Amino acid sequence: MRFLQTLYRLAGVTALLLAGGWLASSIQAQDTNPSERVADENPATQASSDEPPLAALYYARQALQADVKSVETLIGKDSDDSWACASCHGDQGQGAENVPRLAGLPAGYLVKQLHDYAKGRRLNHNMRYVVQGLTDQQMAALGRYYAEMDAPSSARPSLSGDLERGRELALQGDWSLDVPACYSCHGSSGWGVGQAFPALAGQHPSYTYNQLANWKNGSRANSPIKLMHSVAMALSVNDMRAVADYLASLPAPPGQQLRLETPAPGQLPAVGWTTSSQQGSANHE
Amino acid sequence: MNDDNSPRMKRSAKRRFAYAGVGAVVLFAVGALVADYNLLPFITGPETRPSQAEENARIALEARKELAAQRAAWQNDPKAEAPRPPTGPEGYFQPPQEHEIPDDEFGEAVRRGREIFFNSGTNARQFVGNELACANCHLDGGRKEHSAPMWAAINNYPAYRGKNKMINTMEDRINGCFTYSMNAPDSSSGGPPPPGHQVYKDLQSYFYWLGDGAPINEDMPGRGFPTPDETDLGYDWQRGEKVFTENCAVCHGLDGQGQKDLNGRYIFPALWGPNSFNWGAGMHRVNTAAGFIKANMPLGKPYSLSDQEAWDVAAYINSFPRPADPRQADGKMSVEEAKDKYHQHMDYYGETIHGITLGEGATPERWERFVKSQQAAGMSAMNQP
Repeated sequence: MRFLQTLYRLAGVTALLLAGGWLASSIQAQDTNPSERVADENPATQASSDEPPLAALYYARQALQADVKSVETLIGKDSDDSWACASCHGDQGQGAENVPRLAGLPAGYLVKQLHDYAKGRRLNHNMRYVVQGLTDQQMAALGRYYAEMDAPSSARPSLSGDLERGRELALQGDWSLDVPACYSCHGSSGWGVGQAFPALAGQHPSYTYNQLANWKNGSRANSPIKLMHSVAMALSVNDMRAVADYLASLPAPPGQQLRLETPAPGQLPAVGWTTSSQQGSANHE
Repeated sequence: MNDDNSPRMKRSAKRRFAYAGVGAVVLFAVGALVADYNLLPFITGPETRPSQAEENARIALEARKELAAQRAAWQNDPKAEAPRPPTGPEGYFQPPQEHEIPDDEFGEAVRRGREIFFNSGTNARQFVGNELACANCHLDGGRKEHSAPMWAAINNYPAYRGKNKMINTMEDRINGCFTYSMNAPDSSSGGPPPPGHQVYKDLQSYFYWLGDGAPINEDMPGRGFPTPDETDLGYDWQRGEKVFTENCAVCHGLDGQGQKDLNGRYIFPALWGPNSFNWGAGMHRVNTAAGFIKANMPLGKPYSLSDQEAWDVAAYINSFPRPADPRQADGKMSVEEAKDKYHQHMDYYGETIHGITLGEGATPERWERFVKSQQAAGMSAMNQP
């Protein structure tokens, strides 16, 4: 009987540990969970070679034709087979901690991320669950919805990063490591460029930090021509903290209105963008 | 009496065995969690070993300090060791750091020059006829080796140049950059800064400061753009189209016209067309562009393209219309005459590609016609995810 009791205790402790592990995993970023990186079934590293470099532009064109109203319930209300976007990303798309801010990010970029979760180029349990029920049209509409959203930054530096070093990386890069300035691709205020380069300014530092870590460890393998992979590989933990904190200290990008630049379907890239405040004076370029 | 046979001891052995088992599971679980969630840095505190970046910065700082010490020693003692050029982590010349710009009038000129270098279209706008800045080709503000660094150029002028067959001062050389790479003829003033203009003085102050400690009249390692090895296949713009779509278009656009950010600032420069360099710029030569691309593009991924890819994509970029060569336009020459006189090198000048004779300037009307013809021909790359 003693033996049985011991067995019960053992089972109890194991259950406790499992519960603890589950709790920890629900708190912790699942993006960073390397246990997901099972070598033989990791589509992230396999898929990267056929990553089309112009995918974001393609998805932006889809977003342009999308009906934002069609996804409003999806965003605001939990359903049987999915969770409301706003339940994690906030009702202003402002995000928190490791849940990214979505407001004002390029539509093409956002839609591409949803497809990448579905295809496994970007690994995250929650997002994989959420996207499995979405149609291409819904993804396109969601991208447009969040791209147009205008929300002040709720991010603050929180990783005790060296802000001066972060500023240096953002503005000048570190060429001794072949790391270009963040701004040389993500724009002069870190507000993003075009459809493929998302805003970094006003993003939550734990999220930015974790994404850099994910590129480094391979659980995120979806940046065009692996640009972010090279950058992340070169950065130390302290540099990642520094740059994530610095970017969090900046004002967030305004919402972006998608518009057609040259209405010539099937031809040259035709998607441009203006900020919400520039509406009305569209085609200012 | 044998203790081992007592029921108490039997129980204890079992119990100890069980505890050991549980202990092992707990330790394993804790270890697995620490490894899984990368908690070690949080337990041990932040990294104490210097990162590569910190090590590089230390080497750079030491090199500059050593130069200062050697100079101080040499000033009063002719037998002391002469100052040697300071070198960075990879052995290339180490220019001073931004925080070392002196807080005096010279420092102000250096800062003005630096601003012109990075934001040419803002700080020298009357002389810039396109959407480029010096720093687009001279990366890291003219500090980066194999990207025509200014520290390797400043102490090598005056120099004889085959391009205009005479001794050129640094000012003459900068004048050439404005005239060709910055397409000054299309600027508001209609040309490069006039001789002696403050723009030259400020830029030269910046270069002079960057070249502090560099040898005079020496071909320094990392100067200019590297010369790419010629390949058996030669270069071909049609092969280059695929290289461009796969490696360059995400930044420079499928149409090569670059991309602006929300502030209306060009973040990725236009590679051809009216907003790019003209037919007299060094970068229109396929070999020059191939060298630059091989060593520097895509940004942050140097030497990632093969020699063949670099040649082909350089050819592709230079197979499109761009502003006229000012020597042809000013000299009222035909493209044919200018080709004989100025274009006996690796380029497509004077050839007809994409249905247009290259060398005829991309005036607004011509450019519009060209874009329309391109659209009519259709670019299929956009139709696939």
